[in-house]
Amino acid sequence: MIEVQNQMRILASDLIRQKRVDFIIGYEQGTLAHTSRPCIIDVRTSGPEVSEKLVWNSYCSNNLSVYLQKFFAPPVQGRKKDAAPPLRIGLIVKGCDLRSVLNLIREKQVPRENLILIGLPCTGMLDKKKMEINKDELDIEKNIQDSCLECRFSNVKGVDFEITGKTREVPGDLYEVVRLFEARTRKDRLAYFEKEISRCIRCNACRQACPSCYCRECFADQKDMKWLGSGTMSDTMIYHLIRIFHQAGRCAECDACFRACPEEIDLRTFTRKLAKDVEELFGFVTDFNRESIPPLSTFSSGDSDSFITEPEEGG
Amino acid sequence: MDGNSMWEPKIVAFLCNWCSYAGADLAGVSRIQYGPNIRIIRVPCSGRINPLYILKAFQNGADGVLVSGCHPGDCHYISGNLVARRKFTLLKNFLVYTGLEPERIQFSWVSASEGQRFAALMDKVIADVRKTGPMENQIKEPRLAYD
Repeated sequence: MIEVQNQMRILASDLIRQKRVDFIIGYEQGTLAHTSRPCIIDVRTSGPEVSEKLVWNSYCSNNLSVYLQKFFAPPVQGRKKDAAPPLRIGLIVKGCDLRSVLNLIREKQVPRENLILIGLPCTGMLDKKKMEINKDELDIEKNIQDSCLECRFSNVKGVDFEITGKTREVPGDLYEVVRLFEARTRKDRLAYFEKEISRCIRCNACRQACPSCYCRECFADQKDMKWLGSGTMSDTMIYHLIRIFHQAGRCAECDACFRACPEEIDLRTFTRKLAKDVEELFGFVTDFNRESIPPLSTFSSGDSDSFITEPEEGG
Repeated sequence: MDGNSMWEPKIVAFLCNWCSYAGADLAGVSRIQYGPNIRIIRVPCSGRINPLYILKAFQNGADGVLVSGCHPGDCHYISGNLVARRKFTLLKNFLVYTGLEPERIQFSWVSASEGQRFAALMDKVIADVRKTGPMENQIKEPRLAYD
């Protein structure tokens, strides 16, 4: 991991020296022990030595692509052509970050030519909540995030600079959580869903942390045609159902929503269901392929009709 | 079922303007009998339906929601119902996964000439929802339920 960190620093300082980037987004040491936090370095005003700030360790769980869209968002006021030329961003990515970045590129939110991606090998990130419980921070496998246990994209592909190293092995059962949940009875599933959602305080942190949630005006915030209130259980359930549904075929399974949640609501069980359905029904995975079309933007004449109700004595 | 002896299911039907709504029209003009539990909302195309509308119907007291559009290949807008089909497959699976009864959310294709089929479909959906009983999922807003 130290070697990866050193190589990353050398690459970053080279990029700064050659003036190929305006910003570098990476991780720096947090203020507490066993923490890393995202850092956005403006390298137009600093020398190549700032690359020494960057760190890479098992606490770099944040998905950095969440900052990306704001650099390229069209101006709120004024004409698009009067806007400043787009900035060039150097971005440190691990598997899930890269999947989010490619999702933004597919959805034309971020121009690929303005990005310089530095891909790092990921061995899984540690879960702070698990570490507090286990008090055994050296045992990586025990304290790893649940999403990393199901990850099959720790080996990045298609980046500008790839640093090779140890990555995670692809797990056997990718959708174990979903299968276990599907096997429960309907009442049981509803009770679990309602129990989880009842803790929600509607802080919207899950939405803010998500790199795929970049709408200027979210359906939950709309005032003119106010779809959703904020007080009742019903509103909260609808908020979560729709927010998770909007992730269909887009979720990079980085678990940023779960980490951001102050109430530790189990969101992954539900997001994974959509990922599983999208893969099984439409054969689409949010992988490293830049050219693939998002599944809900297209259709096929052979899509399943099995969910259609047919009247008994057909008219 | 003491308190529910008077209960009648309330069903919101989203029908596309070009096929299903015309099919409902034909059923009416042909005087085909079907249950009165349906509240029809006409939409331009089944592809116009946002999943939020369906959940909103449940929130405001619907016991069941039916969405119907043109048969695949017959869409007035060429591919609206094909895009909708993908969306609805995922939506139905997802809502059932989170504990909604599958009978409460139904999708179908009805063309403008299928008045008979429309009436049969309505009877089936009403019977399904009646069998399932009143909505107990907390998506339904208690203070908005005018029963």
